[in-house]
Amino acid sequence: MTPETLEQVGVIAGAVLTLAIFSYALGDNFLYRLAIHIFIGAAAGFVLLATLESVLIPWLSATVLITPFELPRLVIGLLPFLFGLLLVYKGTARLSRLGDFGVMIVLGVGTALALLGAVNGTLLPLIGDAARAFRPENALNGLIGLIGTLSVLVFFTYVGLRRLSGEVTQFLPVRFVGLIGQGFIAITLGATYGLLILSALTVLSGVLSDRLFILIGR
Amino acid sequence: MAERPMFDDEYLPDWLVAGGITCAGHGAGRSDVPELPPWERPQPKTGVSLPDFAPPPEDAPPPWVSGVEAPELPPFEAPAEAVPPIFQALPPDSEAESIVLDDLILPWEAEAPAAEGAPLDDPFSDLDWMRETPAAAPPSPDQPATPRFQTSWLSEAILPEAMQGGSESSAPPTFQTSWLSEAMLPEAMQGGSETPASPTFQTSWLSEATPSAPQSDESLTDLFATSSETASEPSAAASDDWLRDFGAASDFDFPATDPDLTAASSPTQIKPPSFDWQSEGAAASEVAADSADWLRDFSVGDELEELEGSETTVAPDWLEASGVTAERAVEAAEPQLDWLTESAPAESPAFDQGVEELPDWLAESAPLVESTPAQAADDLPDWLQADESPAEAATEAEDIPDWLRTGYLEARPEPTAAPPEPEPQAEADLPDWMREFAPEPKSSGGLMGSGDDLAWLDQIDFEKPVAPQVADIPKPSRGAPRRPEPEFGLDDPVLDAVLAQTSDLELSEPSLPSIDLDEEFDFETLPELPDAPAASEPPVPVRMPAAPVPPSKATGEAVVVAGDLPEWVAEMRPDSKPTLRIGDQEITLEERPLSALPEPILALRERLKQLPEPPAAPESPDSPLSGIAEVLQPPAFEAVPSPLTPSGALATAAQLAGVQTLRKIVAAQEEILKRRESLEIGAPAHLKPRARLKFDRLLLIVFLIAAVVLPFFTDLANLVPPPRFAALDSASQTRFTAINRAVSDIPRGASALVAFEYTPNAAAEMDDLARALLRDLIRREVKPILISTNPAASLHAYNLLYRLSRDSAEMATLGRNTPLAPRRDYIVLGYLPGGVSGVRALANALYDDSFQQQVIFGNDLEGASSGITPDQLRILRAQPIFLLAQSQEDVQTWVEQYRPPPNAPPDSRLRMVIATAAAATATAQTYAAAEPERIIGTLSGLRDALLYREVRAQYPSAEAQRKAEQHWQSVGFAAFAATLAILIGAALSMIQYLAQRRRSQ
Repeated sequence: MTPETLEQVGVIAGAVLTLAIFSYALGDNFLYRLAIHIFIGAAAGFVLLATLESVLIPWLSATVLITPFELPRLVIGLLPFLFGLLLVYKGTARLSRLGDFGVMIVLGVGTALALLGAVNGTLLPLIGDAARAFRPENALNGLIGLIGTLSVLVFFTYVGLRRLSGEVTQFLPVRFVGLIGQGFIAITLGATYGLLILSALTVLSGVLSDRLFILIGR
Repeated sequence: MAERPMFDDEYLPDWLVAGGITCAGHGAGRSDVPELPPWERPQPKTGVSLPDFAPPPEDAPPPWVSGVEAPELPPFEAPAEAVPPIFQALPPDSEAESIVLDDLILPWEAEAPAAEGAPLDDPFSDLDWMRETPAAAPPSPDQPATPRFQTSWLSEAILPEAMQGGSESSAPPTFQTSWLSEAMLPEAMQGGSETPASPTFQTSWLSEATPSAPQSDESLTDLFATSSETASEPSAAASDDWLRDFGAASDFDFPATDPDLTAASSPTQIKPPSFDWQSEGAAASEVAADSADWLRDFSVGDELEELEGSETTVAPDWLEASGVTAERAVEAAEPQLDWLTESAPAESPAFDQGVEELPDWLAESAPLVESTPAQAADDLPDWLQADESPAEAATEAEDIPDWLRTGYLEARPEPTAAPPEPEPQAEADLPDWMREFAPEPKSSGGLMGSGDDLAWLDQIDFEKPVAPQVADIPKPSRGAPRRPEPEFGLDDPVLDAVLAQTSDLELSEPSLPSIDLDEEFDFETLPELPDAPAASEPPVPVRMPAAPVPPSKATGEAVVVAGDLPEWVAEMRPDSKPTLRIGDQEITLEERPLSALPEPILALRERLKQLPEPPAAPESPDSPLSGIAEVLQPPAFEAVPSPLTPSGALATAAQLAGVQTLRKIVAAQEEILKRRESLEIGAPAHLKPRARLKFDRLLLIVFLIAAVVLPFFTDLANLVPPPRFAALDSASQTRFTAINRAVSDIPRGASALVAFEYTPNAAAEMDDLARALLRDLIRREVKPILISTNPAASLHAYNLLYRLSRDSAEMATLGRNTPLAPRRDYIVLGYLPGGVSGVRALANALYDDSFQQQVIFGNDLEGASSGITPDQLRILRAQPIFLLAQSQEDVQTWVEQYRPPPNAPPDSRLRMVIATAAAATATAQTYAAAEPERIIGTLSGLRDALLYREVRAQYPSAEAQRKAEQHWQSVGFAAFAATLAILIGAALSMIQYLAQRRRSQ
């Protein structure tokens, strides 16, 4: 079997599986579930192989199995396995506390990196960009941006006053500004939803042009 | 009457107590006599010495003990209180002490070694050495003329004078008596010892099986032959039945010359079938009218009478089979030994009442101790042979019931050789009914065997001394040597004293009325017995339990095995404890005496007695204690409203409204759940509602597919013109120009990182952008190094480059004649784990960590070495990274984390070009606007892909450009159709809402 033949078989199989996925538009059926299971199983198998070949073996080769032997690398090389072993203990009720240590390492490091990246990569740049928006040439855009930012922040204000009847009410200015922020949120979500639809239609068009047209000879 | 304890020695007459009968269990528990170990218990047997008795000299130990030397241990001193008062008055070293016959310690066993290592608390420890000494029998065959007197625990202490006189005969007789011994012998039998011929009495039921002189068999034959001849009524046919049950019917051979034997003479009294052979004697008792009833049953008295005047030497077959000939007696006697343990309590009253006044119930049990010749061991059943030792004498110990071993076994000689190992199968070979009676070493029942099975025997204290006890019995476990048995004689004053006491206990025959053996024994009558024996009062009839009969070896048939103890006996077991029955469960409670209760409890008990008994309330069947008897019923409580408790809860109107809302929600949810249950559970599987095809959804799908496909077939659907660079605004052109300049600035032959962060499900949108960027890089001879934090994205990147390299048109566009080769023209690195941490590690690896560089850039997706050198990594720092992101999260992660580390040079800057799907366009543009120095530009979706290809002149042909534009038209027209569908849907929803609102108003 030549590579070209394999490629053709792959294209046809991909087209059939695509139709099976599309059959979900008619409702949940066997073809859809079969295609989903195939994709999930193939993805899981590939992830296993990719992790083994491109992560674990290179890691062990660079640390534990390195020649000549280096103790620091050995220790460093065993640390991930130690943490992984601690995570295994999460499956047991008695030793779950040992697993907490592994979770603490993973979540702690991840949270610290995410927080640092969010502050340095998102908040500070966006604050600086908002400050730079007020320029004469784009004063309107800057004003809209300012209004939108402030109104959305006010919308997420949960401070209110509890009346004698037990009802919690907000001041009228807060509610008004919040209503404006709610409008900005609706527009943002609508735009995002429109972009998602556009992406989906692009995928649909690309699949039809690449797969189905091959089946019909175009 | 009911308040009186059932078993109390205080209610027993003295003559019963003197005879050794006490009430074990409750009565024993209240006794002040301390519990003594077996070796310290007073010996129930007494012995009598004959004038001609000549024990072996002390300096010449018997040959069987010559090889064994007893350890030199201090002699055991028995406590003074264990000695009966009549013997305590005697000086310990006086000669009279020797008269206290320890018949259980024969002279030749004075130096017998005690069992070593036996536990002190093991009541059977003193028996083990006897069981394991098969060759420890007294050398009677070697010394036939030596008189031996092995009396049992009742023995000669109460011997009648006639019997005592019998010991004065010139010839030394051999007396092997049992627990009934000579005290019960009639005069005729007592006189038998005075016969010149000095016959050796092996009264099988009276004595123990001891090897005797050869002439014994003959004498016995003479003894019983006469009685067999005098027997006239019992018929052989009738006897065959019960003899068959006995197991030795085949061995019994009734003479055919007995025509008068009838079935009427078969035993009618309740007695073990193993003794039915003595019904012959019962028939003979009619001839011997002056014999006692019990002797009449056994025909012993008749035989003894006949013995005086008869010279018959021919014994009937049944006698030979019954052990008289010492050949087959084991078959007849062995089964009796077991149930004998049950009938053992009957012996003491028989002893007290004398020989002639023995009741019939005692007569039944009397022959049970019949000795069995040891040579008949081969005919023993298996369960007995398992315990048999090679020597015949060892069978004696096995033949003796447990209660009798107490005294008997101590009269046995010590083993002369190493005891053989007990056969382990002995216990296993025991029949079931026998196992119940088998003694347990750890049993609390003491020497009587199992406390559970023979518990009723505990009612009677066999161990209570009725005769002088010997205090110098060493503990077997200590191995203390016993004192040599001193010589003694009948003229000893101690014996006279004992006999003087017992002479008053004799009862006359007319004082014993007839006893109905079928009558149930009522222990309630026991306390009403007089303190002293009265001639006019009838003895307490005792109905003995049916004796279990072991399977016969001779017949090979399963004989009738008696069941457990009678129910009336089992219910009156003194050791039984109150039992609380809960259904099929039983809980045995510990019974404590009332005096043991603390005073507060006693006071409370008295108060409870004074309380009026409440009326019995109907028991609720739902109660958890339903069905349990004598359960304390809880008092009825009545709830009384407290004045401190507010009558109602306080809530505001808003809270009440909230409660009502919650109730509505919960009610609606329950209604929905019930409806689902009725639809899903109630209906059969084939009638369950299937997923209905929604026409609106199907119509929308068809509409969108038509909108997508139509532009590929016709230009009528080209509603949106394809994007052109010239039509862009200045900002967009600047953005594209910056990206084009960044790509162009990458030196040829250098490498560029491409973050491939989209999966195959976004391939239709992102592949055009990826191909545009990769083509541009490859065409500029820049080696793209693809990396991804998603394994599926890595695989898709590998597949995309493979397909790109296989496309000849693409290769022609790139100006290459050969397909692209991995690791030479491009590198797909392995999956970068860790997400955020992985991106951060990648950024760090570009600068200063060689170890991370090796880990991240060392291998490609196939696991092969990537061949990236550190110089290439240094170049990578200066080149922008091309981010192909599918979602906003991927954009955010890479923008936030792909930054120079803190230890990087001050002017370090990791630039990037962000190419995203349409859904992540807003986020990418926001970051690009926020950090224009670091983010060179953004490319979004299919539109920017077409623009980039146009700017970078990547269309290989007009057809390729047309197809790309058709794709754009398709997406555009489908977007228009989708927008139209959304608007139509929104309009329909609005109309429906207004209609519902109008109807609701």
